[in-house]
Amino acid sequence: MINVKHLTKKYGRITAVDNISFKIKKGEIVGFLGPNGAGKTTTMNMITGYLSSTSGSIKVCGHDVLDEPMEVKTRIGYLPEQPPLYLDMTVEEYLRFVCKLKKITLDEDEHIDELCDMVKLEDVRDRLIKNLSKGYRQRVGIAQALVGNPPVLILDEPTVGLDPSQIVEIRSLIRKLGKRHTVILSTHILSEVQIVCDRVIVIHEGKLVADSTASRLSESLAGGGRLQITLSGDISHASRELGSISGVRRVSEISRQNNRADFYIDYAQGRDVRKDIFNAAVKNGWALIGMKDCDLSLEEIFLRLTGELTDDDANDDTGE
Amino acid sequence: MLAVFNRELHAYFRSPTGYVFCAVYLVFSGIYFNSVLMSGQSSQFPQIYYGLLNVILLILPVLTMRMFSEERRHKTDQLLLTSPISLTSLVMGKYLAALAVYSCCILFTLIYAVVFTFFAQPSWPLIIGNIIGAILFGGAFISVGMFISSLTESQVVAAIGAFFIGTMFTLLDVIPMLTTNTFILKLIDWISFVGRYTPFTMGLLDFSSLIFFASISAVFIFLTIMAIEKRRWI
Repeated sequence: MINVKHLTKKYGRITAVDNISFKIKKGEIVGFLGPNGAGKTTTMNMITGYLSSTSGSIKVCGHDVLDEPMEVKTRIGYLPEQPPLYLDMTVEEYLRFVCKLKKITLDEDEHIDELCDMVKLEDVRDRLIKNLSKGYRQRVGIAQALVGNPPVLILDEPTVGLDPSQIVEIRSLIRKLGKRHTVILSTHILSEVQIVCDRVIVIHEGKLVADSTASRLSESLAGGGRLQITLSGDISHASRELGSISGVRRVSEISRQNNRADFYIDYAQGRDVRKDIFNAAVKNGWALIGMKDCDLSLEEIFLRLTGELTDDDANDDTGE
Repeated sequence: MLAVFNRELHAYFRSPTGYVFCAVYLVFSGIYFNSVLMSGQSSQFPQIYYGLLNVILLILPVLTMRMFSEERRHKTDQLLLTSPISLTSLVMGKYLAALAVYSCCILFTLIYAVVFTFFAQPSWPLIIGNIIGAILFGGAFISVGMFISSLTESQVVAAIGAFFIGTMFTLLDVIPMLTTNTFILKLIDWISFVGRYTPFTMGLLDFSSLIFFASISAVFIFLTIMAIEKRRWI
Protein backbone atom coordinates (compact mmCIF):
# COMPACT_ATOMS: atom_id res chain seq x y z
CA MET A 1 0.00 0.00 0.00
CA ILE A 2 2.68 2.46 1.06
CA ASN A 3 6.26 1.86 0.09
CA VAL A 4 8.93 4.23 1.34
CA LYS A 5 12.48 3.70 0.19
CA HIS A 6 15.61 5.46 1.45
CA LEU A 7 13.71 8.61 2.23
CA THR A 8 15.88 11.56 3.20
CA LYS A 9 15.03 15.19 3.87
CA LYS A 10 17.63 17.87 4.50
CA TYR A 11 16.95 21.43 5.58
CA GLY A 12 20.21 23.09 4.67
CA ARG A 13 22.76 21.28 6.78
CA ILE A 14 20.22 19.75 9.14
CA THR A 15 19.06 16.27 8.24
CA ALA A 16 15.48 15.96 9.43
CA VAL A 17 14.83 12.51 7.99
CA ASP A 18 17.73 10.21 7.35
CA ASN A 19 17.43 7.25 4.99
CA ILE A 20 14.13 5.80 6.21
CA SER A 21 12.62 2.77 4.49
CA PHE A 22 9.43 0.90 5.36
CA LYS A 23 6.43 -0.79 3.82
CA ILE A 24 2.88 -0.59 5.06
CA LYS A 25 0.33 -3.19 4.07
CA LYS A 26 -3.34 -2.62 3.42
CA GLY A 27 -5.49 -2.35 6.54
CA GLU A 28 -2.63 -1.85 8.96
CA ILE A 29 -2.68 0.78 11.69
CA VAL A 30 0.88 1.97 11.99
CA GLY A 31 2.15 4.29 14.68
CA PHE A 32 5.06 6.64 14.21
CA LEU A 33 6.57 6.99 17.63
CA GLY A 34 9.22 9.51 18.45
CA PRO A 35 9.99 12.51 20.64
CA ASN A 36 9.27 16.02 19.37
CA GLY A 37 11.52 16.93 16.50
CA ALA A 38 12.24 13.31 15.58
CA GLY A 39 11.09 13.73 11.98
CA LYS A 40 7.61 12.22 12.22
CA THR A 41 5.79 15.22 10.80
CA THR A 42 8.38 15.73 8.07
CA THR A 43 8.00 12.11 6.99
CA MET A 44 4.22 12.44 6.91
CA ASN A 45 4.42 15.70 5.00
CA MET A 46 6.55 14.00 2.40
CA ILE A 47 4.13 11.10 2.01
CA THR A 48 1.25 13.52 1.46
CA GLY A 49 3.25 15.52 -1.05
CA TYR A 50 3.23 18.72 1.03
CA LEU A 51 7.00 18.63 1.20
CA SER A 52 9.44 17.21 -1.28
CA SER A 53 12.09 14.71 -0.33
CA THR A 54 15.79 15.36 -0.80
CA SER A 55 16.24 11.80 -2.00
CA GLY A 56 14.46 8.48 -1.91
CA SER A 57 11.09 7.44 -3.23
CA ILE A 58 7.54 7.14 -1.88
CA LYS A 59 4.85 5.05 -3.51
CA VAL A 60 1.23 5.09 -2.39
CA CYS A 61 -1.03 2.42 -3.91
CA GLY A 62 1.59 1.94 -6.60
CA HIS A 63 1.75 5.63 -7.57
CA ASP A 64 4.91 7.64 -7.08
CA VAL A 65 4.39 10.84 -5.06
CA LEU A 66 6.61 12.86 -7.38
CA ASP A 67 5.50 11.45 -10.72
CA GLU A 68 1.77 11.20 -10.09
CA PRO A 69 1.01 13.60 -7.24
CA MET A 70 -2.70 13.89 -8.11
CA GLU A 71 -3.20 10.12 -8.04
CA VAL A 72 -1.56 9.98 -4.63
CA LYS A 73 -3.41 12.97 -3.22
CA THR A 74 -6.82 11.54 -4.09
CA ARG A 75 -5.92 8.43 -2.09
CA ILE A 76 -4.74 10.12 1.09
CA GLY A 77 -6.71 11.82 3.82
CA TYR A 78 -4.42 13.96 5.93
CA LEU A 79 -4.90 15.49 9.34
CA PRO A 80 -1.91 17.74 10.04
CA GLU A 81 -0.74 18.53 13.55
CA GLN A 82 -2.84 21.69 13.53
CA PRO A 83 -6.15 20.89 11.82
CA PRO A 84 -6.36 22.99 8.62
CA LEU A 85 -9.65 24.68 9.44
CA TYR A 86 -11.14 27.88 8.07
CA LEU A 87 -12.38 29.56 11.20
CA ASP A 88 -14.85 31.76 9.34
CA MET A 89 -16.86 28.81 7.99
CA THR A 90 -19.43 26.61 9.65
CA VAL A 91 -18.67 22.92 10.00
CA GLU A 92 -21.02 22.04 7.18
CA GLU A 93 -19.74 24.74 4.82
CA TYR A 94 -16.22 23.63 5.52
CA LEU A 95 -16.92 19.97 4.82
CA ARG A 96 -18.73 20.91 1.61
CA PHE A 97 -15.71 22.92 0.56
CA VAL A 98 -13.41 19.96 1.24
CA CYS A 99 -15.75 17.70 -0.76
CA LYS A 100 -15.46 20.03 -3.75
CA LEU A 101 -11.73 20.41 -3.26
CA LYS A 102 -11.26 16.65 -3.30
CA LYS A 103 -13.67 16.29 -6.22
CA ILE A 104 -15.55 13.43 -4.62
CA THR A 105 -17.99 11.48 -6.71
CA LEU A 106 -20.18 10.39 -3.79
CA ASP A 107 -23.44 12.14 -3.03
CA GLU A 108 -22.33 15.20 -1.08
CA ASP A 109 -25.27 15.53 1.33
CA GLU A 110 -25.28 11.85 2.18
CA HIS A 111 -21.53 11.76 2.61
CA ILE A 112 -21.50 14.75 4.98
CA ASP A 113 -24.31 13.21 7.03
CA GLU A 114 -22.31 10.03 7.28
CA LEU A 115 -19.13 11.86 8.31
CA CYS A 116 -20.89 13.97 10.93
CA ASP A 117 -22.44 10.84 12.31
CA MET A 118 -19.14 9.00 12.42
CA VAL A 119 -17.17 11.65 14.29
CA LYS A 120 -20.21 12.94 16.23
CA LEU A 121 -20.49 16.42 14.80
CA GLU A 122 -24.27 16.63 14.32
CA ASP A 123 -24.73 19.02 17.23
CA VAL A 124 -22.30 21.58 15.86
CA ARG A 125 -22.94 21.32 12.12
CA ASP A 126 -24.21 24.87 11.83
CA ARG A 127 -21.75 26.47 14.22
CA LEU A 128 -18.80 28.53 13.08
CA ILE A 129 -15.54 26.62 13.49
CA LYS A 130 -14.15 29.69 15.25
CA ASN A 131 -16.52 29.02 18.15
CA LEU A 132 -15.75 25.32 18.57
CA SER A 133 -13.69 23.82 21.35
CA LYS A 134 -10.38 22.15 20.68
CA GLY A 135 -11.93 18.69 20.83
CA TYR A 136 -14.59 19.52 18.27
CA ARG A 137 -12.05 21.20 16.02
CA GLN A 138 -9.95 18.06 16.12
CA ARG A 139 -13.02 16.04 15.12
CA VAL A 140 -13.73 18.39 12.23
CA GLY A 141 -10.12 17.86 11.23
CA ILE A 142 -10.62 14.09 11.27
CA ALA A 143 -13.87 14.42 9.31
CA GLN A 144 -11.98 16.48 6.75
CA ALA A 145 -9.38 13.72 6.38
CA LEU A 146 -12.16 11.17 5.88
CA VAL A 147 -13.85 13.08 3.07
CA GLY A 148 -14.08 10.85 0.01
CA ASN A 149 -13.22 7.72 2.02
CA PRO A 150 -9.55 7.68 1.00
CA PRO A 151 -7.85 4.29 1.36
CA VAL A 152 -4.96 5.83 3.31
CA LEU A 153 -5.35 8.04 6.38
CA ILE A 154 -2.45 9.98 7.80
CA LEU A 155 -3.07 11.50 11.21
CA ASP A 156 -0.44 13.66 12.85
CA GLU A 157 -0.76 13.51 16.63
CA PRO A 158 -4.55 13.16 16.53
CA THR A 159 -5.02 13.16 20.31
CA VAL A 160 -2.81 16.08 21.30
CA GLY A 161 -4.57 18.69 23.40
CA LEU A 162 -7.73 16.67 23.98
CA ASP A 163 -9.17 15.85 27.38
CA PRO A 164 -8.94 12.24 28.61
CA SER A 165 -12.47 11.22 27.61
CA GLN A 166 -12.00 12.71 24.14
CA ILE A 167 -8.69 10.88 23.81
CA VAL A 168 -10.41 7.57 24.54
CA GLU A 169 -13.13 8.43 22.02
CA ILE A 170 -10.72 9.40 19.25
CA ARG A 171 -8.61 6.30 19.86
CA SER A 172 -11.58 3.99 19.51
CA LEU A 173 -12.62 5.89 16.39
CA ILE A 174 -9.17 5.33 14.89
CA ARG A 175 -9.38 1.62 15.70
CA LYS A 176 -12.72 1.54 13.95
CA LEU A 177 -11.33 3.39 10.94
CA GLY A 178 -8.52 0.86 10.74
CA LYS A 179 -11.00 -1.71 9.52
CA ARG A 180 -11.66 0.21 6.32
CA HIS A 181 -8.55 2.32 5.89
CA THR A 182 -4.82 1.98 6.14
CA VAL A 183 -3.88 4.34 8.94
CA ILE A 184 -0.60 6.02 9.83
CA LEU A 185 -0.64 8.06 12.99
CA SER A 186 2.12 9.77 14.86
CA THR A 187 2.41 10.21 18.57
CA HIS A 188 4.91 10.67 21.30
CA ILE A 189 2.86 8.70 23.78
CA LEU A 190 4.01 5.11 24.13
CA SER A 191 0.77 3.80 25.61
CA GLU A 192 -1.23 5.28 22.73
CA VAL A 193 0.72 3.16 20.28
CA GLN A 194 0.14 0.08 22.38
CA ILE A 195 -3.59 0.70 22.49
CA VAL A 196 -4.24 1.76 18.92
CA CYS A 197 -1.59 0.41 16.58
CA ASP A 198 -0.85 -2.97 15.06
CA ARG A 199 2.66 -1.93 14.29
CA VAL A 200 5.12 0.66 15.52
CA ILE A 201 7.79 2.52 13.64
CA VAL A 202 10.10 4.31 16.02
CA ILE A 203 11.88 7.36 14.70
CA HIS A 204 14.60 9.14 16.56
CA GLU A 205 16.68 12.03 15.24
CA GLY A 206 15.47 11.32 11.73
CA LYS A 207 16.49 7.68 11.80
CA LEU A 208 14.30 4.62 11.93
CA VAL A 209 15.36 2.83 15.09
CA ALA A 210 12.71 0.14 15.40
CA ASP A 211 9.95 -1.36 13.31
CA SER A 212 7.90 -4.10 14.95
CA THR A 213 4.55 -4.89 16.45
CA ALA A 214 3.55 -2.94 19.52
CA SER A 215 3.64 -5.95 21.83
CA ARG A 216 7.03 -7.11 20.61
CA LEU A 217 8.42 -3.64 21.03
CA SER A 218 7.38 -3.33 24.63
CA GLU A 219 8.75 -6.82 25.33
CA SER A 220 12.11 -6.04 23.87
CA LEU A 221 12.12 -2.68 25.56
CA ALA A 222 11.12 -4.08 28.84
CA GLY A 223 14.26 -6.23 28.96
CA GLY A 224 13.88 -5.79 32.70
CA GLY A 225 12.38 -3.18 34.90
CA ARG A 226 13.15 -0.28 37.14
CA LEU A 227 12.67 0.33 40.82
CA GLN A 228 12.92 3.54 42.71
CA ILE A 229 14.14 3.11 46.28
CA THR A 230 14.83 5.51 49.12
CA LEU A 231 17.48 4.69 51.68
CA SER A 232 18.68 6.43 54.78
CA GLY A 233 21.60 5.77 57.05
CA ASP A 234 25.27 5.43 56.13
CA ILE A 235 24.81 5.31 52.41
CA SER A 236 28.23 6.39 51.18
CA HIS A 237 28.83 3.00 49.53
CA ALA A 238 25.23 2.24 48.75
CA SER A 239 25.59 2.53 44.99
CA ARG A 240 28.40 0.02 44.87
CA GLU A 241 26.71 -2.39 47.25
CA LEU A 242 23.44 -2.25 45.34
CA GLY A 243 25.26 -2.66 42.06
CA SER A 244 26.85 -5.87 43.23
CA ILE A 245 23.46 -7.56 43.77
CA SER A 246 23.06 -10.18 41.09
CA GLY A 247 20.35 -9.22 38.61
CA VAL A 248 20.89 -5.49 39.06
CA ARG A 249 22.12 -3.95 35.86
CA ARG A 250 22.49 -0.37 36.80
CA VAL A 251 22.16 1.87 39.78
CA SER A 252 21.77 5.62 39.50
CA GLU A 253 21.44 8.06 42.32
CA ILE A 254 18.72 10.63 41.70
CA SER A 255 19.04 12.83 44.75
CA ARG A 256 20.75 12.92 48.12
CA GLN A 257 19.95 14.88 51.23
CA ASN A 258 22.17 14.51 54.28
CA ASN A 259 22.10 10.75 54.81
CA ARG A 260 19.09 10.01 52.74
CA ALA A 261 19.09 9.25 49.03
CA ASP A 262 16.89 8.08 46.16
CA PHE A 263 18.14 5.57 43.61
CA TYR A 264 16.91 4.11 40.38
CA ILE A 265 17.70 0.43 40.10
CA ASP A 266 17.43 -1.19 36.67
CA TYR A 267 17.19 -4.93 36.86
CA ALA A 268 17.30 -7.71 34.30
CA GLN A 269 14.17 -9.29 32.94
CA GLY A 270 12.65 -12.03 35.02
CA ARG A 271 14.64 -11.23 38.15
CA ASP A 272 12.95 -10.05 41.28
CA VAL A 273 15.65 -8.15 43.11
CA ARG A 274 13.44 -6.62 45.78
CA LYS A 275 14.24 -9.22 48.36
CA ASP A 276 17.97 -8.90 47.71
CA ILE A 277 17.77 -5.15 48.07
CA PHE A 278 16.01 -5.56 51.37
CA ASN A 279 18.65 -8.01 52.57
CA ALA A 280 21.45 -5.70 51.45
CA ALA A 281 19.82 -2.89 53.37
CA VAL A 282 19.66 -5.00 56.50
CA LYS A 283 23.24 -6.13 56.11
CA ASN A 284 24.57 -2.60 55.68
CA GLY A 285 22.39 -1.04 58.29
CA TRP A 286 20.38 1.19 55.90
CA ALA A 287 16.78 1.96 56.53
CA LEU A 288 14.73 1.14 53.43
CA ILE A 289 12.15 3.93 53.48
CA GLY A 290 10.54 3.43 50.11
CA MET A 291 10.45 1.15 47.11
CA LYS A 292 8.26 1.36 44.01
CA ASP A 293 8.07 0.22 40.42
CA CYS A 294 8.81 2.81 37.76
CA ASP A 295 8.01 2.91 34.05
CA LEU A 296 10.69 3.82 31.60
CA SER A 297 10.28 7.29 30.19
CA LEU A 298 10.04 7.68 26.44
CA GLU A 299 13.41 9.42 26.42
CA GLU A 300 15.03 6.41 28.02
CA ILE A 301 13.34 4.04 25.62
CA PHE A 302 14.91 5.97 22.79
CA LEU A 303 18.25 5.90 24.47
CA ARG A 304 17.91 2.15 24.76
CA LEU A 305 16.75 1.70 21.21
CA THR A 306 19.41 3.91 19.76
CA GLY A 307 21.99 2.13 21.89
CA GLU A 308 23.27 5.37 23.29
CA LEU A 309 23.00 3.94 26.75
CA THR A 310 25.75 1.35 27.06
CA ASP A 311 27.00 -0.43 30.12
CA ASP A 312 29.95 1.95 30.29
CA ASP A 313 27.59 4.86 30.68
CA ALA A 314 25.76 2.95 33.32
CA ASN A 315 28.90 2.58 35.37
CA ASP A 316 29.74 6.25 35.01
CA ASP A 317 26.32 7.16 36.27
CA THR A 318 26.55 5.29 39.53
CA GLY A 319 27.81 8.39 41.22
CA GLU A 320 31.00 6.90 42.55
CA MET B 1 -10.74 26.19 -9.19
CA LEU B 2 -14.40 27.03 -8.69
CA ALA B 3 -14.28 25.65 -5.14
CA VAL B 4 -11.34 27.90 -4.25
CA PHE B 5 -12.96 30.87 -6.00
CA ASN B 6 -16.20 30.46 -4.03
CA ARG B 7 -14.40 29.92 -0.78
CA GLU B 8 -12.33 33.09 -1.31
CA LEU B 9 -15.31 35.26 -2.19
CA HIS B 10 -17.04 33.89 0.86
CA ALA B 11 -13.99 34.70 3.00
CA TYR B 12 -13.86 38.32 1.78
CA PHE B 13 -17.43 38.91 2.86
CA ARG B 14 -17.41 36.84 6.04
CA SER B 15 -14.65 39.03 7.42
CA PRO B 16 -14.73 42.83 7.37
CA THR B 17 -12.02 42.87 4.67
CA GLY B 18 -14.33 42.89 1.66
CA TYR B 19 -16.74 45.40 3.15
CA VAL B 20 -13.99 47.75 4.28
CA PHE B 21 -12.39 47.59 0.86
CA CYS B 22 -15.63 48.33 -0.97
CA ALA B 23 -16.66 51.01 1.51
CA VAL B 24 -13.38 52.89 1.28
CA TYR B 25 -13.32 52.68 -2.49
CA LEU B 26 -16.90 53.86 -2.84
CA VAL B 27 -16.42 56.73 -0.38
CA PHE B 28 -13.46 58.00 -2.36
CA SER B 29 -15.12 57.52 -5.71
CA GLY B 30 -18.10 59.44 -4.34
CA ILE B 31 -15.87 62.28 -3.23
CA TYR B 32 -14.12 62.41 -6.59
CA PHE B 33 -17.39 62.26 -8.47
CA ASN B 34 -18.79 65.04 -6.39
CA SER B 35 -15.77 67.30 -6.61
CA VAL B 36 -15.07 66.78 -10.30
CA LEU B 37 -18.51 66.54 -11.80
CA MET B 38 -20.67 68.49 -9.40
CA SER B 39 -18.43 71.15 -7.89
CA GLY B 40 -16.12 71.35 -10.89
CA GLN B 41 -19.06 71.43 -13.30
CA SER B 42 -17.11 69.32 -15.76
CA SER B 43 -17.86 66.08 -17.56
CA GLN B 44 -14.35 64.80 -17.23
CA PHE B 45 -14.96 61.20 -16.18
CA PRO B 46 -11.32 60.30 -16.85
CA GLN B 47 -10.29 62.67 -14.09
CA ILE B 48 -12.30 60.62 -11.59
CA TYR B 49 -10.75 57.34 -12.58
CA TYR B 50 -7.31 58.86 -12.81
CA GLY B 51 -7.62 60.20 -9.31
CA LEU B 52 -8.95 56.89 -8.08
CA LEU B 53 -5.78 55.12 -9.24
CA ASN B 54 -3.99 56.37 -6.14
CA VAL B 55 -6.81 55.13 -3.96
CA ILE B 56 -6.58 51.75 -5.63
CA LEU B 57 -2.85 51.52 -5.02
CA LEU B 58 -3.50 52.42 -1.42
CA ILE B 59 -6.29 49.97 -0.64
CA LEU B 60 -5.71 46.98 -2.94
CA PRO B 61 -3.09 45.60 -0.52
CA VAL B 62 -6.01 45.06 1.88
CA LEU B 63 -7.42 42.52 -0.55
CA THR B 64 -4.15 40.87 -1.46
CA MET B 65 -2.38 40.72 1.90
CA ARG B 66 -4.40 37.79 3.19
CA MET B 67 -4.35 35.67 0.04
CA PHE B 68 -1.56 33.27 0.97
CA SER B 69 -0.17 34.69 4.21
CA GLU B 70 -3.33 33.83 6.10
CA GLU B 71 -3.37 30.28 4.73
CA ARG B 72 0.15 29.76 5.90
CA ARG B 73 -0.45 31.32 9.30
CA HIS B 74 -3.46 29.09 9.94
CA LYS B 75 -1.80 26.10 8.25
CA THR B 76 -4.79 25.73 5.95
CA ASP B 77 -2.35 25.63 3.05
CA GLN B 78 -1.69 22.06 4.17
CA LEU B 79 -5.24 21.20 3.17
CA LEU B 80 -5.03 22.96 -0.18
CA LEU B 81 -1.62 21.61 -1.09
CA THR B 82 -2.45 18.02 -0.17
CA SER B 83 -5.73 18.10 -2.09
CA PRO B 84 -5.93 16.84 -5.65
CA ILE B 85 -6.09 20.29 -7.22
CA SER B 86 -3.28 21.79 -9.24
CA LEU B 87 -1.34 24.77 -7.97
CA THR B 88 -2.38 26.72 -11.04
CA SER B 89 -6.07 26.33 -10.35
CA LEU B 90 -5.49 27.16 -6.68
CA VAL B 91 -3.66 30.40 -7.53
CA MET B 92 -6.07 31.30 -10.32
CA GLY B 93 -9.07 30.70 -8.06
CA LYS B 94 -7.69 33.10 -5.50
CA TYR B 95 -6.63 35.66 -8.09
CA LEU B 96 -9.99 35.68 -9.83
CA ALA B 97 -11.84 36.02 -6.52
CA ALA B 98 -9.85 39.12 -5.59
CA LEU B 99 -10.31 40.46 -9.11
CA ALA B 100 -14.04 39.86 -8.86
CA VAL B 101 -14.36 41.83 -5.62
CA TYR B 102 -12.33 44.64 -7.11
CA SER B 103 -14.21 44.63 -10.42
CA CYS B 104 -17.54 44.85 -8.60
CA CYS B 105 -16.33 48.02 -6.89
CA ILE B 106 -15.21 49.50 -10.20
CA LEU B 107 -18.51 48.61 -11.85
CA PHE B 108 -20.32 50.38 -9.03
CA THR B 109 -18.99 53.64 -10.42
CA LEU B 110 -21.24 53.07 -13.44
CA ILE B 111 -24.00 54.37 -11.19
CA TYR B 112 -22.41 57.80 -11.38
CA ALA B 113 -22.48 57.66 -15.14
CA VAL B 114 -26.12 56.70 -15.05
CA VAL B 115 -26.87 59.56 -12.66
CA PHE B 116 -24.95 61.80 -15.01
CA THR B 117 -27.27 60.98 -17.91
CA PHE B 118 -30.04 62.89 -16.15
CA PHE B 119 -28.07 66.10 -16.57
CA ALA B 120 -25.95 65.68 -19.67
CA GLN B 121 -24.80 63.24 -22.27
CA PRO B 122 -21.79 61.30 -20.97
CA SER B 123 -19.29 59.87 -23.41
CA TRP B 124 -19.91 56.16 -22.99
CA PRO B 125 -16.83 54.92 -24.87
CA LEU B 126 -14.74 57.04 -22.55
CA ILE B 127 -16.39 55.63 -19.45
CA ILE B 128 -16.16 52.04 -20.65
CA GLY B 129 -12.54 52.58 -21.65
CA ASN B 130 -11.80 53.88 -18.17
CA ILE B 131 -13.49 50.96 -16.51
CA ILE B 132 -11.66 48.40 -18.63
CA GLY B 133 -8.42 50.23 -17.92
CA ALA B 134 -9.06 50.33 -14.19
CA ILE B 135 -9.84 46.61 -14.11
CA LEU B 136 -6.69 45.73 -16.06
CA PHE B 137 -4.61 48.05 -13.90
CA GLY B 138 -6.04 46.54 -10.72
CA GLY B 139 -5.66 43.00 -12.05
CA ALA B 140 -1.96 43.56 -12.60
CA PHE B 141 -1.56 45.09 -9.18
CA ILE B 142 -3.52 42.26 -7.52
CA SER B 143 -1.13 39.73 -9.05
CA VAL B 144 1.83 41.67 -7.63
CA GLY B 145 0.20 41.82 -4.19
CA MET B 146 -0.65 38.13 -4.35
CA PHE B 147 2.94 37.30 -5.15
CA ILE B 148 4.16 39.27 -2.13
CA SER B 149 1.55 37.54 0.03
CA SER B 150 2.88 34.17 -1.08
CA LEU B 151 6.33 35.10 0.19
CA THR B 152 5.45 35.80 3.80
CA GLU B 153 3.46 34.42 6.67
CA SER B 154 2.70 37.91 7.98
CA GLN B 155 -0.24 39.78 6.53
CA VAL B 156 1.24 43.06 7.74
CA VAL B 157 4.46 42.44 5.82
CA ALA B 158 2.44 41.44 2.75
CA ALA B 159 0.36 44.62 2.95
CA ILE B 160 3.33 46.90 3.48
CA GLY B 161 5.23 45.17 0.67
CA ALA B 162 2.37 45.62 -1.78
CA PHE B 163 1.81 49.17 -0.59
CA PHE B 164 5.51 49.94 -1.10
CA ILE B 165 5.47 48.64 -4.65
CA GLY B 166 2.27 50.55 -5.36
CA THR B 167 3.88 53.75 -4.15
CA MET B 168 6.95 53.05 -6.24
CA PHE B 169 4.71 52.79 -9.32
CA THR B 170 3.45 56.29 -8.75
CA LEU B 171 6.87 57.65 -7.86
CA LEU B 172 8.23 56.14 -11.05
CA ASP B 173 6.44 58.81 -13.03
CA VAL B 174 8.33 61.55 -11.22
CA ILE B 175 11.69 60.31 -12.50
CA PRO B 176 11.25 61.62 -16.09
CA MET B 177 11.11 65.12 -14.63
CA LEU B 178 14.54 64.64 -13.08
CA THR B 179 16.52 63.20 -15.94
CA THR B 180 17.04 63.58 -19.66
CA ASN B 181 18.73 60.22 -20.15
CA THR B 182 16.84 58.77 -23.09
CA PHE B 183 17.32 55.18 -22.02
CA ILE B 184 15.84 55.76 -18.57
CA LEU B 185 13.01 57.79 -20.05
CA LYS B 186 12.21 55.00 -22.44
CA LEU B 187 12.39 52.38 -19.73
CA ILE B 188 10.13 54.35 -17.39
CA ASP B 189 7.71 54.97 -20.21
CA TRP B 190 7.64 51.26 -20.85
CA ILE B 191 7.10 50.00 -17.32
CA SER B 192 5.03 52.84 -15.86
CA PHE B 193 1.65 51.52 -14.78
CA VAL B 194 0.13 54.97 -14.82
CA GLY B 195 1.62 55.72 -18.24
CA ARG B 196 0.18 52.49 -19.58
CA TYR B 197 -3.15 53.39 -18.11
CA THR B 198 -3.35 56.81 -19.80
CA PRO B 199 -4.63 55.59 -23.20
CA PHE B 200 -7.66 54.05 -21.52
CA THR B 201 -8.56 57.38 -19.95
CA MET B 202 -8.84 58.77 -23.43
CA GLY B 203 -11.24 56.05 -24.41
CA LEU B 204 -8.60 54.27 -26.48
CA LEU B 205 -8.40 50.49 -26.31
CA ASP B 206 -4.62 50.51 -26.65
CA PHE B 207 -3.56 47.02 -27.56
CA SER B 208 0.01 47.30 -26.25
CA SER B 209 -1.23 48.53 -22.86
CA LEU B 210 -3.74 45.72 -22.72
CA ILE B 211 -1.01 43.20 -23.45
CA PHE B 212 1.23 44.92 -20.92
CA PHE B 213 -1.21 44.60 -18.03
CA ALA B 214 -2.21 41.07 -19.03
CA SER B 215 1.39 39.95 -19.17
CA ILE B 216 2.25 41.59 -15.84
CA SER B 217 -0.62 39.61 -14.32
CA ALA B 218 0.51 36.42 -16.02
CA VAL B 219 4.11 36.86 -14.89
CA PHE B 220 3.20 37.46 -11.26
CA ILE B 221 0.67 34.62 -11.22
CA PHE B 222 3.44 32.41 -12.52
CA LEU B 223 5.88 33.75 -9.90
CA THR B 224 3.30 33.07 -7.18
CA ILE B 225 2.99 29.46 -8.33
CA MET B 226 6.76 29.17 -8.33
CA ALA B 227 7.05 30.73 -4.86
CA ILE B 228 4.62 28.18 -3.43
CA GLU B 229 6.23 25.32 -5.32
CA LYS B 230 9.64 26.42 -4.10
CA ARG B 231 8.61 26.14 -0.47
CA ARG B 232 8.15 22.42 -0.92
CA TRP B 233 11.75 22.14 -1.98
CA ILE B 234 13.56 24.10 0.70
